[in-house]
Amino acid sequence: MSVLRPFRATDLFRFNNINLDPWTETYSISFYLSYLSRWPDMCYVQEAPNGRLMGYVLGKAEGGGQEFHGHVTAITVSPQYRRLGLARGMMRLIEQISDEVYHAFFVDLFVRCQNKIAKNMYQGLGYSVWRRIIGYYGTGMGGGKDDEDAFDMRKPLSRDAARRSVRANGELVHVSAHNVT
Amino acid sequence: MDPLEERQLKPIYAALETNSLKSALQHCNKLLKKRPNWDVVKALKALALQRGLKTDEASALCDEILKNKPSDESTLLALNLTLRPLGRHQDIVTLYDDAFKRHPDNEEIGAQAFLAMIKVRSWKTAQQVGLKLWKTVKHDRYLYWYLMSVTQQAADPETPDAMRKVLLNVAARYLATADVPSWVATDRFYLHISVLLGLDDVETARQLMKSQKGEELCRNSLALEQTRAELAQKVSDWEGERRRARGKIEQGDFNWTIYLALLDSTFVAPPSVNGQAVPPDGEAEKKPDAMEELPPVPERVSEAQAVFSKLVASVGRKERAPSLGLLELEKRVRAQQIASGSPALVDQMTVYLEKFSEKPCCFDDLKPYVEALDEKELVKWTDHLRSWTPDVTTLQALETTMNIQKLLRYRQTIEGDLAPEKEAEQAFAYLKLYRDALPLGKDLRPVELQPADDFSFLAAQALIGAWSLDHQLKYLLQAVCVLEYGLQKSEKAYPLRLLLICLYRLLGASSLCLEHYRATNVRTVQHDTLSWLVLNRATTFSTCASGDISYLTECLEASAIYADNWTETGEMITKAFQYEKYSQIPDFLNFEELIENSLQRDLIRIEHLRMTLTHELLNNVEMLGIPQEIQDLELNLQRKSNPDNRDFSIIPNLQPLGQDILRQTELGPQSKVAWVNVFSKIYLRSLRGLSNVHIAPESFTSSIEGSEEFTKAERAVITLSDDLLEWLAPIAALPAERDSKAANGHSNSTESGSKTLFETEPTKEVALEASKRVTQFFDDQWAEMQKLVEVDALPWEILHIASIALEGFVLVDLVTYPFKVPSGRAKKGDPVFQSVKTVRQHAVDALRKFSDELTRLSHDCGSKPLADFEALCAPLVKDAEFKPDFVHRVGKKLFESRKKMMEGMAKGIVRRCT
Ligand SMILES: CC(C)(COP(=O)(O)OP(=O)(O)OC[C@H]1O[C@@H](n2cnc3c(N)ncnc32)[C@H](O)[C@@H]1OP(=O)(O)O)[C@@H](O)C(=O)NCCC(=O)NCCS
Repeated sequence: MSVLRPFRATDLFRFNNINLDPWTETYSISFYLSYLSRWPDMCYVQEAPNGRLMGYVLGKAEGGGQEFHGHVTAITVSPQYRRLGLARGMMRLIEQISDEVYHAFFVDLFVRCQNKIAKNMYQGLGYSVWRRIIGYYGTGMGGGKDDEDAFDMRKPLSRDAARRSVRANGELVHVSAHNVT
Repeated sequence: MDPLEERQLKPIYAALETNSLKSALQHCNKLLKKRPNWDVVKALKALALQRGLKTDEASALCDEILKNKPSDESTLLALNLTLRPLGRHQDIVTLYDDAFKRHPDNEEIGAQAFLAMIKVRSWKTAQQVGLKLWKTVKHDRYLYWYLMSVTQQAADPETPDAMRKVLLNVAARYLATADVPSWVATDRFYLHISVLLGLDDVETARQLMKSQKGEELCRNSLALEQTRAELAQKVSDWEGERRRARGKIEQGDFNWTIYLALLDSTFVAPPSVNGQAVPPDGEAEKKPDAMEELPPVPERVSEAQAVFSKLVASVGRKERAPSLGLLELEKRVRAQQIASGSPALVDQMTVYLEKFSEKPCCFDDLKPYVEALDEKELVKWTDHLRSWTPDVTTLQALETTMNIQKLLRYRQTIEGDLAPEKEAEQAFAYLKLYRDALPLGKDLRPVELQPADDFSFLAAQALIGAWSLDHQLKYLLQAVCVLEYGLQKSEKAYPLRLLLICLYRLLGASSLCLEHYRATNVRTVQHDTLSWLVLNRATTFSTCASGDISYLTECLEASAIYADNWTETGEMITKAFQYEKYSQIPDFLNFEELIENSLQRDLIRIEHLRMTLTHELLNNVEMLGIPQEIQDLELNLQRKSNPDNRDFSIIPNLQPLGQDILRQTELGPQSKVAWVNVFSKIYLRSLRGLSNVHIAPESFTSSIEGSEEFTKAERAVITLSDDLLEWLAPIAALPAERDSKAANGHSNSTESGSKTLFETEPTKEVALEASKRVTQFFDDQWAEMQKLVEVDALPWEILHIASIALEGFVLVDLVTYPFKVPSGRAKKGDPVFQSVKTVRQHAVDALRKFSDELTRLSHDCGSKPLADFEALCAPLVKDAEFKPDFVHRVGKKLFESRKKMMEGMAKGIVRRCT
């Protein structure tokens, strides 16, 4: 239960309770606005009835040909509002827009191998590991390899009827971060 | 450009590309030797100079090139890149505008002209360029660029109403006759609707929305959906909205926006005039399209009730929306005194609590409804809460207990008067729960949040509550220990850390404040919203031994965002035009201005100036950058608005209703626009005096009488500034050749026709009287200081008085600086000149006393007070199982930090006053 609405530039003034979190980074102004200036329909916030921000998602659409896909760049929910289905609701919307507006083949995202909660959540939502990206996160949070590497997880959309974006043993496919944009 | 020229320029571009500025300059100079007026080379040279921070040279070179009105793209681009960081946006506009006039078919130049105009908000010229582009280039994008600038000009409050209508009408006509319909892209459609809305043409807008294409776009755009709903409300199509919302809710849409739409349309009064819709703003409307009639309110209420109840049964604990919908419905039913036949609010709240008590947000969810309870219900509610036995053996039980405790605390005031002992007792009860709950998180990594964190947060707030009732220091010190303890277990629990910063400020442990602040890793835009935590009244802590400039540095780091905003947001506005995301542009423009004019920016500016002046001797006047400071202060005063972006909600308030943790822990009243204005003016006039520019004195003392933004000491220093002016300004302002008379007090400046600055003539007596008040300021502050020390005031209060006394000295220094040595204006032996010497000496003597006292107090930070600290915190050891050496360590760190602060300030004062 919350207001799900488009992310607005002025939300940057109010996202502190979400961003003061070890798993969430705060980027430059251009980072956020570059998403809004191109994919405003892939950026949303969840807001509590009392006006506090609870979480947000930033996404984009990219890739050519059969690689054209929706990408979730950041999704985060303030600790106080976790386990309410907010991330689920935002993921659903991103998938809907990727499917119906962009006609993308799949949605993907990168998650720290160490971030078990997020990884399990994505699996629960129908994502599976496509590959492991070595050294994607420059600096870890003291958790070793699993902290520096990312899983690239994908979920096929209606256009990927052949389910090309799913493969078994994706965890064993390793690529270096240099080869990933 | 011919290939030979291109080849010649290549090395310059290459050097700039790799930021080899020296090499770029050499190449430029070589070419310019042969061809001194080669514009593009000059422009590239200017760019290299600008990048090398040779701003003045770059700027001068730009002026030279601008005179030639260049119009080739390479020169334009190089100039654009140079002028932008120099902030010369108006020049860019002129540059491109002229060039476009000469090359009306050059799309790139036209587009740059348009974007430059947007940057300076020159909507009118932007419209002309946009239209011209559209007509020559024939790309629809430019029609929408034009439309965007029309809506912006229309939204500008300075645009006259008639003009607004004309502009929008023309725009609407273009849209109506365009070949390509606006619905090909969501954002074009959005802009189309905005134009119609500007014209109040709700009917056409609604028709567009209701078209098949419109409906399709709405389905995948929450932004459009919102506009659609607003349109419906504008024509009071409440029944349409009600049905739409009900349908969506029944289909499982849990967006609270939709719930609110159903709730709002359930309670809205039926349109008044014989079934005709009357828009809320009372403006007469065209005949609305056929709209359905609203059923009577009770019928709507029971429908909503049925919809929510059905869902409550089917979704169980998975979704809160239907349950909260019922609560909100009941709250509104009560407010409107409608008989609904549903269970009492308090009973529904009980049901809600039972269902969602394991969700951390349950407390926040219920707060507004707790406030709506009457006294009888409140008793019932509290009894119910009490009937739960605290249990922290599982994560679920812990969350429930946490919610119950927060809810109980929220309405604690009904228990009768809050007594400090009761608050303390409560704190220890929370601490017990905290301790009992800690094992639940024992396997978590240190960067992960402990489930029990909020119990330590509650305990700290209760202790602060106790302290704010009777000001016994022990409570405050215990709160510090509790928070330090919590952070030791959960290093990323930022609410604990931020509250701790506030307490350390009160306790004068300034280095610890900065340490903890840095540990929160505040970045980019957060500097604007969060730097108040350490920079509010930071001059209190900035004076210190030479070499320590941590607060000055913090100001500079926090201010970087304001420059970044100017370039980054500006670029993103350009991007939004290029990608045609019109829905974002008003937001981006607004965002840019909110940061540009931010109140916090001005507060930091003033703190930085106060810090610099209390730090640097005036002999280093060059270093102080006075002209820049004057410019900045003038900017502060010229702002049309001064938005307050500070995020005060970042420290959750867990105090009982009516109390506010922030108010309880801040240093003095919150400073806002009045504060910025007065301090800007004070420094403006003092600094101008330094460069012999004088303005008629204005009394600030009276201007802030009704304001609550100032501490007592700040008021005193403001009065001091008034007195200083009365004392010396009239004389300082006299033309130099006339000053012998002035010094005698018999001057009459109108005599010789020179300008009269003051209505009454300055007399020696008035000036000398004012000088007495100036000396009195220092005596008063010293008396205040002694009083504070005597009553064991909080360290920040002592530091505040001392820093204000020092600021007083700085103001005296600024105003008397021109009189320090005998000059034509004030001759040796003259009473006024004598008074300068006397006052300065008096101020220096007074500040020495402050310094000595601070040194003495710094010795008080040794082992005896540490022992006292341990004694005051002993209950934590006894009743909350804190280890004695933990308490010892916390105390030691606190006193070390405070000692450093006091010693540093003592030294800093002496250094500044000699
Ligand atoms: C990951 C995160 C976004 C999840 O947000 P959320 O709103 O709490 O997630 P939801 O409530 O929508 O959870 C959806 C499902 O994911 C699973 N899940 C989410 N959090 C879980 C947890 N802590 N433990 C176990 N399962 C969890 C559950 O299956 C849940 O469904 P359920 O509650 O019906 O059982 C949130 O924990 C977060 O912000 N973490 C920090 C930032 C981060 O890691 N982002 C991901 C970077 S790729």
